[in-house]
Amino acid sequence: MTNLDDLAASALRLEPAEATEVLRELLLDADLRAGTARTGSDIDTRVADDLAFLREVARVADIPDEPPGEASPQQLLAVIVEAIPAAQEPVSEALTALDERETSLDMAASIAVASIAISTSAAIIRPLVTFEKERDGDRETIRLKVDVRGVRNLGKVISALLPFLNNGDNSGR
Amino acid sequence: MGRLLGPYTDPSLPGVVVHIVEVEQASGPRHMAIVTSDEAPWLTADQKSGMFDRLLAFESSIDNDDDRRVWLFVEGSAPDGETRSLESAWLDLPDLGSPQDTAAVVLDAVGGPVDLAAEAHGILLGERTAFLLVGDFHGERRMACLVAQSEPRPPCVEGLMSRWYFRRVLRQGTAGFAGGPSVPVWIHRTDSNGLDALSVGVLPLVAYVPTAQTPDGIAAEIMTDSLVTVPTRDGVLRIGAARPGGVHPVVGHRHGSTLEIIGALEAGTDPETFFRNQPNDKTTALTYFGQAVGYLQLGRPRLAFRAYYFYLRFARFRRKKAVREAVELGFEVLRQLDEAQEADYVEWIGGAIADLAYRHGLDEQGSTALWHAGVASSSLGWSDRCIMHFERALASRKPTRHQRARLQMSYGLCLLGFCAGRELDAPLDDRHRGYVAEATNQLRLAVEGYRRIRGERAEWALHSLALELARAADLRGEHGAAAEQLRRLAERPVIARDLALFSTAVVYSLLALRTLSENDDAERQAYLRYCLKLAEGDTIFPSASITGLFHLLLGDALAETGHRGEALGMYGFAHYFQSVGFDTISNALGPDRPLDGWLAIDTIDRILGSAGHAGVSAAPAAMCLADNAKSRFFRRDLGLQLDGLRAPYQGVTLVLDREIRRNLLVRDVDQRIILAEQQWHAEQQIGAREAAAPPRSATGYLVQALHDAAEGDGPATGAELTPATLADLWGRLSEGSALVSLYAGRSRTTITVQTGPGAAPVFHELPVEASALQRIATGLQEHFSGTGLYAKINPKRPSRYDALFWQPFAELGTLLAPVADMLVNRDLVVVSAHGAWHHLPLHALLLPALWRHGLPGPALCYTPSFGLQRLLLARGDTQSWGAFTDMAVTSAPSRTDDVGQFRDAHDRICASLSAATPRLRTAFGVEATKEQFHERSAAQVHHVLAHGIHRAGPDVMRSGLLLSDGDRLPELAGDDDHALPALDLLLRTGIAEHLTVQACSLGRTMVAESDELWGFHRAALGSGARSVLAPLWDINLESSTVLLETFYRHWLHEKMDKHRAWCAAQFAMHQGEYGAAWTHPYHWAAFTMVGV
Repeated sequence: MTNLDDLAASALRLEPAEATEVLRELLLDADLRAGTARTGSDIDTRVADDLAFLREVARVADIPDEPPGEASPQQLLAVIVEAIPAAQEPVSEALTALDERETSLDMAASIAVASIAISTSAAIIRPLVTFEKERDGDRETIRLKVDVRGVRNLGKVISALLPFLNNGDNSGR
Repeated sequence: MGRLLGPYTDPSLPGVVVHIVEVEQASGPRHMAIVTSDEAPWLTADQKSGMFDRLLAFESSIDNDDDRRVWLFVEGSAPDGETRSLESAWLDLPDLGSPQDTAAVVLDAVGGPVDLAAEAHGILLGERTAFLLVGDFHGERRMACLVAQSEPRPPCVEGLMSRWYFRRVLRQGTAGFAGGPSVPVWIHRTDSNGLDALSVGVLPLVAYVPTAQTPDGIAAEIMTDSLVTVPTRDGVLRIGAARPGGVHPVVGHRHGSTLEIIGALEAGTDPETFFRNQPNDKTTALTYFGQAVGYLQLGRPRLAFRAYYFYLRFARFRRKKAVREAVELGFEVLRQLDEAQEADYVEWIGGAIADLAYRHGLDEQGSTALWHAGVASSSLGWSDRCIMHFERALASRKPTRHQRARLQMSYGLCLLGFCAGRELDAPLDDRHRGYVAEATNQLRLAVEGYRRIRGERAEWALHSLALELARAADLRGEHGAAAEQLRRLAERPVIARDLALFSTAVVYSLLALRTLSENDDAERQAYLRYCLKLAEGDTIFPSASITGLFHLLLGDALAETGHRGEALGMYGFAHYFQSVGFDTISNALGPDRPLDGWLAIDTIDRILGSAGHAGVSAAPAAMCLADNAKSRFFRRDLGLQLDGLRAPYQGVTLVLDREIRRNLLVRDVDQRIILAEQQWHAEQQIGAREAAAPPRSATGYLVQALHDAAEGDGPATGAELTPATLADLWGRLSEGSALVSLYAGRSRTTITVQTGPGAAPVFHELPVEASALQRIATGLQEHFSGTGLYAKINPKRPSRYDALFWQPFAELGTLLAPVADMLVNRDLVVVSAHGAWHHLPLHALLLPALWRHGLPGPALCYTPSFGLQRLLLARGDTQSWGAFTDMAVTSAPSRTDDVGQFRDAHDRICASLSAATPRLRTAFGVEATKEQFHERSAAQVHHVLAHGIHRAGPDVMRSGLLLSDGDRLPELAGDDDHALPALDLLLRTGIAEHLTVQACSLGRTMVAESDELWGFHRAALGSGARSVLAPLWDINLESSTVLLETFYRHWLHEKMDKHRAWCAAQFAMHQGEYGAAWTHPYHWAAFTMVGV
């Protein structure tokens, strides 16, 4: 499944729980690539750091702080697929893995979807953006430098994420 | 000679024929009746008359006859089922009417058909059966249940006798109790075979609201549950149990909570009236007041506490004089409890006195009571309660100047006490630094206060405060200044003369010097020399915590200088004083009850660390001490349960006692009340002397045995592990077993291995930090159960992320190789884990290492502690489960599951069990209800396939299974109505001998202080299971079904021992018999067998 449109359409057809599971795969993949994968760490602390990072990105990129709609992990996943080329392969793999799932005797995931959305987005975006500070006398300004080959449309990703940032339960669990 | 009249019949009652026999007596004519099932009485009138003559003569002789009483002979069923039998019965008439009128009353008393709908068999002081009769009473379907000797069969449960008996019970029940008409079942319990039902008099009846839906279920429930449940307007269920002697213990029970015993109901008192009157029952209050006084005079403070507890519940305080009396009595009880070192009870009663006193304006008494409660909380290591009590006391309106200063001083002292020990193992965290800051503030305020007070006590307090302020400075990091200040203070004559002050100065100095010398070799050597010199003496100080800390510090110094044997002795003393502190804790330590201060210091890790170097003689004692430090409250409560099984009391008293004991296993209940009630109850049954004799603590013996100074094998009874009880455990295990005990200290895990009853325990150290173990365990759960942010494992490609999640754990396998070498050729390895090891599949490392040595390798089962395992096996001696062939499978998919897949798994499990038993009872889908689960409690093997909810944190005992509500399947999203929480298992009686829980993560536990384990396991073992097989993480339906099918095939078809069968199933999957993907530990190592 390499066609971009097909991939995005597949993401939109997922159940919320399935889309969330794909986001978790993306997060693990991103952390492994960055060499920052850690187990047994404090989820609350991580999510709080990731949230602060994304809010800063949204502020510096001057993205309006108005959520366009409801928090939807499927929508966020579709936007990530379209806007971030590097995410396409792991999403494709994760979708294949979803098809392999069998019945398990567990309950629904105990982690808040918002936390997963926030940390996944932060993990994907963090390597692709840098903050540059400029000083003009007493005045300091911060500019956001985005790797355009890595993120085609940062504003769209942040916009899809805003409902999670503003409305979601970011408490981790 | 009498006249035979009739037959009389009622067209609406086919099969009931009444003949009246009219006999002439001195007082006039009397009517007797014969009730048979056909119209051809087979006795002559003379014969009938003769029967009645003999009956009247007998009943008159025992003063049991009355002119208005009609004696009946009712046809019953003879044992051979062919001949007829006649049983005597009776009914009372208001007036003697015509024979026809009497016949009508008799026909009404016998009434319509009654079915013997169910029988349930069990053991209640001999073999008993619950006979459940179902019939119509005043147009409503009702039930009556006779619980009687199984043999000979009671005459009143069959034939026409059953109709008369049924309506007799219903008439008495509904007439004698305001809520009677709505009671679905009336239970009549008797120690005989029910003949008492035929005699005149009031039957001891119990009103009962069953939870089971079917007659079989209700009868089974009645056999295992004895209590009256009556719904009342406020949604509260009141439960009482009728005792044949007349006094009714009365128990209050709220929905979803556990028992709370609130009083005793005198014979003849209507339960509704009793409930309506409390808490305004002056007579009962006075009774308890008197009891409290009496027990104080006898020097029995815990029983005085119980009486005072009930007194407060029943008394209504309208006048200040009554309040003062109550407060004074409370302080008397408190003082005795304090002298008996019952700190946990002092904490309760201090709070209760304060509530009462403040409510009625007695602020001074309130503050004093809270001071006691605060100090008691401190000695128990409960910082949150301690802070609450002191803050409340200091915020009250008008403590006196002296009171305020004393409160501030004690508050500061307690806060500093909570830091003791923290600094020995790790730097203070933010919370404890906060304690030091607040302590400094309170101590300074106390100094100001005491300076305005004259007298010796104030002078003493100022000296003590100077020591505490120096200690606070040390904890703030001012070690040099603190050490110097403490040195100067110790030289003051007034301090040097006072052992309490001087010992405090010495220990505080050692703590400061120890930290001060950490980075200075010369200082360190001086400090160590000082410690070695101190170690030459034999010192006991007035304060247990100061004495314990002193020995601990000297032990550390001795260990550091290579004097391992002497260090072990010092640690032993420290541990002894610590266990004295633990003995004062009644409420089991839950996940939300952290211990602070002196009790939180890990003395066992130090003992094990030194025992490995101290020679063979210390090893058994060290092993026992480590074991006794695990699951101490679970072990205590199971020990009490076992005592109850060994010495069963009679009838419902047994059941009530069992309920009390079971409640000890439930964390929601204030166990202080339950323990006091249990003690009182035991004394009522078996006499004060026997009940009051406390079990001899083994700690003193074991500490002596550490350095070969103890004789014999220690106490052979009691719940603790000693060499003697360890030998008993070995006697109960199969030949070729081995014991492996883990103890996770801060920086190492000590593994103790004993390979046979005569073998010396061998210690092996794993240099792995407890925090690292916890991270590994959390990582495994994140991946296997999806509890983290990362993706959950893909069951078809489980090894994809092994490098991140599994490898850190697998690396411990190398360190475990020497342990595995010791276990080669063993048949069964019983593992007692500790700390984070409870969350880790040790078997996934050990078993493959052992399988490499050749087959068959040993099987591996877990137990919370060896002492507990011994009790579990001993319980099996007295506890009866169902027949081996009695098995059950309960399966409940959720609404969103693929029901076909679930059905397939259910059918496969059923097939693997059904070949071994003709009595497999199954329930699938909506039939798989909580009630149905409980009805299977008598089974020998019960397999449950359902979704599981593991709740981490304080709610862990609400972890459980999702089952149907009878109408609908459960939903996955936290559906409490469908949940069968662990708590429910404990509140019910009985469970299968072996329980397999094929439900995600229900093998997970929460580990509280002192390694107290909480979760589904605890509930299943506590309510009677011998072994529980449950998964450590979220499992895959397909692979877990195959694993368990294989287990059952080996166990039930091929008749392998259970542990061997389980090991063979794990081995087959690990070896790839079911495909390469399932060789991953996620599949084959998911389950742990707890219990043997």
